[in-house]
Amino acid sequence: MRPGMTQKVNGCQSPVQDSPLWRSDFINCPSPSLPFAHLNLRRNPFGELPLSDWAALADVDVQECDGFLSKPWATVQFVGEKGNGKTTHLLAIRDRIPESVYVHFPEGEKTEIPVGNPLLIDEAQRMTRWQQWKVFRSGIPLVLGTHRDFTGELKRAGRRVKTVVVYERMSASRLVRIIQARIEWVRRDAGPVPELSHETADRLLTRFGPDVRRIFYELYGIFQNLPEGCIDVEV
Amino acid sequence: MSKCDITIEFDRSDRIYQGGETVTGQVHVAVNRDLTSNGIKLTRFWKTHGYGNTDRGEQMEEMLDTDSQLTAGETRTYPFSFVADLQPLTYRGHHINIDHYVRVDVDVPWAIDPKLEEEYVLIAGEIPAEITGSRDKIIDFTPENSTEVSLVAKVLGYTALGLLLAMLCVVTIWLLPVVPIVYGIIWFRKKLVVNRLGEVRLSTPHLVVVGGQSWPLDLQFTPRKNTQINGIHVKFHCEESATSGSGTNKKTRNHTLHDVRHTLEPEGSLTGGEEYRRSLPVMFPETEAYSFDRSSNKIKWTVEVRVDIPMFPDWTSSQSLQVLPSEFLQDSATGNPDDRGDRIVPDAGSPVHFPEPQVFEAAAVEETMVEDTASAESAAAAWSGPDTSPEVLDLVERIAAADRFGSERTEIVERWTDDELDVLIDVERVSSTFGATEDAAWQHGQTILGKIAGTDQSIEVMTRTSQQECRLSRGSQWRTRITVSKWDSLYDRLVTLDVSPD
Repeated sequence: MRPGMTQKVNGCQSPVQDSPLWRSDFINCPSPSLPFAHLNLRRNPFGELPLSDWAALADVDVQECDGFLSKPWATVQFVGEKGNGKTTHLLAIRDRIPESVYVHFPEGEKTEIPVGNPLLIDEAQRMTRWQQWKVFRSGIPLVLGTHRDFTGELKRAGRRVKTVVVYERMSASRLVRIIQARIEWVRRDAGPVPELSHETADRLLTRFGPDVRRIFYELYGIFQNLPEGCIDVEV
Repeated sequence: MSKCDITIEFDRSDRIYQGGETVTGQVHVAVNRDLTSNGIKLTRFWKTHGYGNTDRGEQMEEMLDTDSQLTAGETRTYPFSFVADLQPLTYRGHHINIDHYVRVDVDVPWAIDPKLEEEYVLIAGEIPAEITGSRDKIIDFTPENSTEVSLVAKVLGYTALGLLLAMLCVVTIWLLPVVPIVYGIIWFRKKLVVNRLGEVRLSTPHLVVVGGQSWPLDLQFTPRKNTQINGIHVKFHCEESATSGSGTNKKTRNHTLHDVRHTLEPEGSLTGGEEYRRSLPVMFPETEAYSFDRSSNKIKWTVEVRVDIPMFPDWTSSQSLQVLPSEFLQDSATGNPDDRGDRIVPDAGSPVHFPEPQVFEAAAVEETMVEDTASAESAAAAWSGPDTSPEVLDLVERIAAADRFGSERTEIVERWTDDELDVLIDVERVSSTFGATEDAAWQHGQTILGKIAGTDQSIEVMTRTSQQECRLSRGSQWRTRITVSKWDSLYDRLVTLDVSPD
């Protein structure tokens, strides 16, 4: 291969290197170097992040809910499948409104409903009928993260409902923003870092749908094996 | 908006430090506007990163500066120095990475505190205090204060656990009749294996292991029946297990780092009543993946020994091991790695090496290993007796000298299968032939086990004659004519067919 040509290695379009520093070389290297320094990063950007970092990296538009939620009987429900970003929306609202309280309903476990204004209920479809009846008929502003659309029940309870289908908000541009924010979050210094193009994001959405969690796992595997100096990540 | 630039500079450019070494460096803090600080704090700690939730070690804090006024354009430098942790060592894996950090926080009142985190690389150095030299028990590296829960908390914890179990019992009471059935199946399966192989005793040298070290297995059993085996295998398995999320969003992913199976004994047949007792020296794979066990991130090593019996439950034994860096198991007197066995460093690319299995001397009281009877030298020594069956002895000598694991032995046997050989045998045991033979004519006959007269060399002869017609018994001498069927590597003996005229 001639100098100056590019080669596609492990999902990366990168300049030809004399001795690319492979990730696998690190595993048995007697003196390991700094993590992900070969990509100018501090760690794999798509690994698990602490909840605090998660909220800081949320790329969601929740300002529109501010006014709506300031009045009683208001409900905003974020509807979508797992990995679509329901929890991210709820946590972003929690960060915006200090009086709000977030509660997650785990599967098969009885969960008490706390007091908050607004009350943010994640996995709301797991509430018991009694809890639904009680919560929906209280005047407290609600924000629901749910797999099921509760519009009928909420309207019968006399609530004003705003429904956000979260996957409809996903686009290649937004996915690029989310991914680049993650990469920037773990940047090591001012040099270049890997980037994802709009086309690559489009391909990821075609392949995995709006399941961002699944896309992140795919990217985690790719970033584990990116060669040194990789800039343009391809999938 | 004011800007606070923090840089952490280590005195070593590669930032590589051995456990117990002093890590030194400077912290530089520069601001572009006057800034009041309530203190500048340096924290050092280790944490994991990767697919799983973050596990972290104890945070050690040190104040570099107390309340101070930082002036625009000024750069303050604070030297730091601390003794590096001894473990866990820096690790780069697939789902798990372990790194050591120095973090500097500038406490700015009523504002987000500027902070910076930098990694340094920790390699093996001083031996952690938890390692006492005993290698028979998994060493717990969890700091005492993190497990030292107050008595009240312990009582509350156990009470809650008790209540939970009681509730679980109530909920799952309908499963009660299923429990004896499951246990019955497990018991029956074990019983089947015991009926076939007898009590199998496996002893391993230690649970705390160093990569690249000899790790001999002692396996001993006396089969109750003649048994075909597909082989005896040992499998080393190492995997990273990382858990992300919590509650129902919890997801654990495993990544296999090593999964290597090695055959200790090839396919063959075990003779009922004949003891199988061997020390099987295996070499533990060279690795940098040392055992690690925290709540969301684990690096686990297991070894499984399996006696693979065709169309029958296998005998298996699985054990968790703890793999440590060799530097942690140094002999305190010599400073050399404490091998407790011959440490053989494998060639690059062949992480596991299997020397010839060593055979215990059957009559020895002490478990003293003797030379492999399969080796050419020992085979030659066995022929020191009267030369009563020269052709057979010549054949055995050739086979014994051939490579045990190649095809050479089979090729020798194949060259001799058409020749009829005279042999004189000291009979030790007579039993009905078990299982299928290559020729149906020998299927319902007898199997005669004995030694070639005047030697210690075992031989197995299958006859066409049934029990009623066969008058041979232990102690008798039998002159017969045989053809060679195969070489039994398990017992280092010829398996032959009796072709003497009726």
